[in-house]
Amino acid sequence: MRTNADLRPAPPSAVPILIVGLLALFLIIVGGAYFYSSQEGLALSVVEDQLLSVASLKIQQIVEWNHDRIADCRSFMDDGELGATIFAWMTQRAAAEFESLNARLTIEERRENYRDMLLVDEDGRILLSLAGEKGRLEPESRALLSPALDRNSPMLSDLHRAQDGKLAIDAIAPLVDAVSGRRAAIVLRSDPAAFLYPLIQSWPAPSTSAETLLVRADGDSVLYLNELRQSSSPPLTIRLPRSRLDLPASMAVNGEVGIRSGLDYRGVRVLAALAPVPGTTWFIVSKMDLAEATAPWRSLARIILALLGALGTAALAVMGVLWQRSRLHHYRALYTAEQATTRAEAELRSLNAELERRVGERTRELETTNADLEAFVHNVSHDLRTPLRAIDGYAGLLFEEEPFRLSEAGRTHLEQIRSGARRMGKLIDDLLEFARVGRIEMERGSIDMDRLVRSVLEELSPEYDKRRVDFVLNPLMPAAGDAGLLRQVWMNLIDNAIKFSSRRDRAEIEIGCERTASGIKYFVKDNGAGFDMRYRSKLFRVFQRLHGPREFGGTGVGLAIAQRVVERHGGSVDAVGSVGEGATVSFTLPALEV
Amino acid sequence: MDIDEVEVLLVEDNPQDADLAKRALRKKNLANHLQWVEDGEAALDFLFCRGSYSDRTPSRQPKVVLLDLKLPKLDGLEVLEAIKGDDRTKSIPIVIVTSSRQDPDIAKAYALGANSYVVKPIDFDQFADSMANLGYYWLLINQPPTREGAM
Repeated sequence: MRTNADLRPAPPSAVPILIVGLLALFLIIVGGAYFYSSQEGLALSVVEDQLLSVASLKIQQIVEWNHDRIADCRSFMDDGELGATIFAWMTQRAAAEFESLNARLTIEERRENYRDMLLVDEDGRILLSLAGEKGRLEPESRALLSPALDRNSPMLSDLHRAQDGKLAIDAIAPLVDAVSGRRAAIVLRSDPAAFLYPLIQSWPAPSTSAETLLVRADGDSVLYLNELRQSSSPPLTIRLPRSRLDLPASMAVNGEVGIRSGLDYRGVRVLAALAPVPGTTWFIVSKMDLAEATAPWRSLARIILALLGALGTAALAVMGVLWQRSRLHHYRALYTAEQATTRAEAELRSLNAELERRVGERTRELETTNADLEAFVHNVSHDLRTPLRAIDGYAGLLFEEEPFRLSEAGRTHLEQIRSGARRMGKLIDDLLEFARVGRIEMERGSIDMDRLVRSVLEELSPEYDKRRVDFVLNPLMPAAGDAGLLRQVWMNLIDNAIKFSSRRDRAEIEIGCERTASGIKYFVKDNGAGFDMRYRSKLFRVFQRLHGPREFGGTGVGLAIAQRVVERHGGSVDAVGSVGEGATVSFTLPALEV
Repeated sequence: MDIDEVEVLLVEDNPQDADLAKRALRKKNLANHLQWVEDGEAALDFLFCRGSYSDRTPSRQPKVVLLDLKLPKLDGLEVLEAIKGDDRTKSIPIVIVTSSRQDPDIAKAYALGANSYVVKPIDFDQFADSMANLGYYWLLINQPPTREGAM
């Protein structure tokens, strides 16, 4: 029976799935890293763009505001009537001119939302102030008077504190009297807190940390000009050294432009857009805490990482599922094979059992049949013999007791009756013998064939005329088998040889053996009547005779018995011959195991 | 013939065989005290002095019983068993008479205590010879043991 291992499919290899899975994982990691970094750049660039655009927007607004101040100055400078009124008043100090001047400046102040309007002479002495300022103009603005008057061009002061302590930006409109050559200036004072600071502070998008700084260099320091979102210190009070190169404001005043990362005045890491404000000493720093700038990215990064993780997990899961499935498939196949095997085994077992049962049945039937047959044979022999005995017996009695009442012919007939009856008896005996040699249990032993043949010849010696028969007895190799049965073989063969050579004047019978491929071949060769090779196959059949009973006696069972015995020994019989030239009958037995 | 003088009991169902056997023995002058019965029951009746043989003297047993194995009613082996199984009869020599040398019942008969066997050849001359030899041996040479000796 086949073993289970033959049916069992080989366990699936994890290698292909592992390779595919690792490849997928690798792609996820590499692609994820690429995606991550590109997304990171994208997210930061959005913030940077925002900072840059805010910075440039502020600059633009500041510049516009400055232009407006300059434009206001020019409108004063171009107003000849106003100039005439001013110089007239300066000369005569007439109340009418003062009133006219005061009214005009008040209108302008209100219109453009100035904090104050001042009229100063060329040395900076305040001649008139709507807000009531006295004395001289603050040095920051006074320093601009000469250049403005010399060039006859409006100028804008830096942020500074006015006498009242409030912040101010002054726009200076120089005035020169064309007739007298006298010089004066109108100062348009703005409050940065009113417009500039809110403008700077406003942020187009909601943000927790974004702010814009207006700074300028102040010697070795950088001065913060506007109100700070994350500091309560008032404007123009915070100074930080320009040498602090990680400070975006320092970078700006040192001439750096664009996006920079650094630590702001609080020491917090920020991302900043740096740009100078044209036409001023100012620099814009639009900054945002790096934490906030990268916050959207970080949350996005978390999502990306989570997605990548999920993707990796999914890949692993798919891998696992595939592996499981292949295992499942494998085990299902295994299970199916196992089941098939079990089924096959069960079928085989039941077949075996059925076969055994049938063999047993047949054996019993055969045993019964054999027993029946044996009993039958026995009964037949008994029942056939009884009448034969009566025939022979009474024929003999007739012959014996009343010999003279029978004619010669009668006596001959009586003899024929007796010989027929005896012949019949011989047939029955031979037939029984034939049945017996096929049936009896064989004994196996080593047999001295020389001795066996000599004893057969001795037993047969009364049957033939020694003077007429020459025996050539070659040495015989020993054999293995049932001595009684093989004796009968020799007996039948030698008896036949004597019988069929009985018509020769000198019968020659040779007995010998030779080794052949299939064993040891024993033969009995005679120079007797021989036989026609065409009928060779009939030679060993029961009751088959190649000679008439008148020629030679015999029942035709001897060779059949010999064949049966030899075949029971695992050997074979053979005969060769030709009519009138004798026959060689042989039997081959398997060689003795040495 | 006095029934108590029987020396040979022939148990044979076939009358021709019985006749031939008697003739063979008679030729050798051995059949003078021969009793022939046709079946096993009759044989046992004779030996145990019952039925139609009830007036026989039990102590006068035959010198030999020639027992055919193939018998109607009780067969030869059963008769043999009954004879050898009884103290009164077990010392009587029993010679099995059979048609064939190859009769498997011969072995069984020996196992049951048969003393000898003879094959009935078809050739009457041979048959007569073997019967004669048998008779000589059992009737003349073989001396049955005394009752005491048999005990």
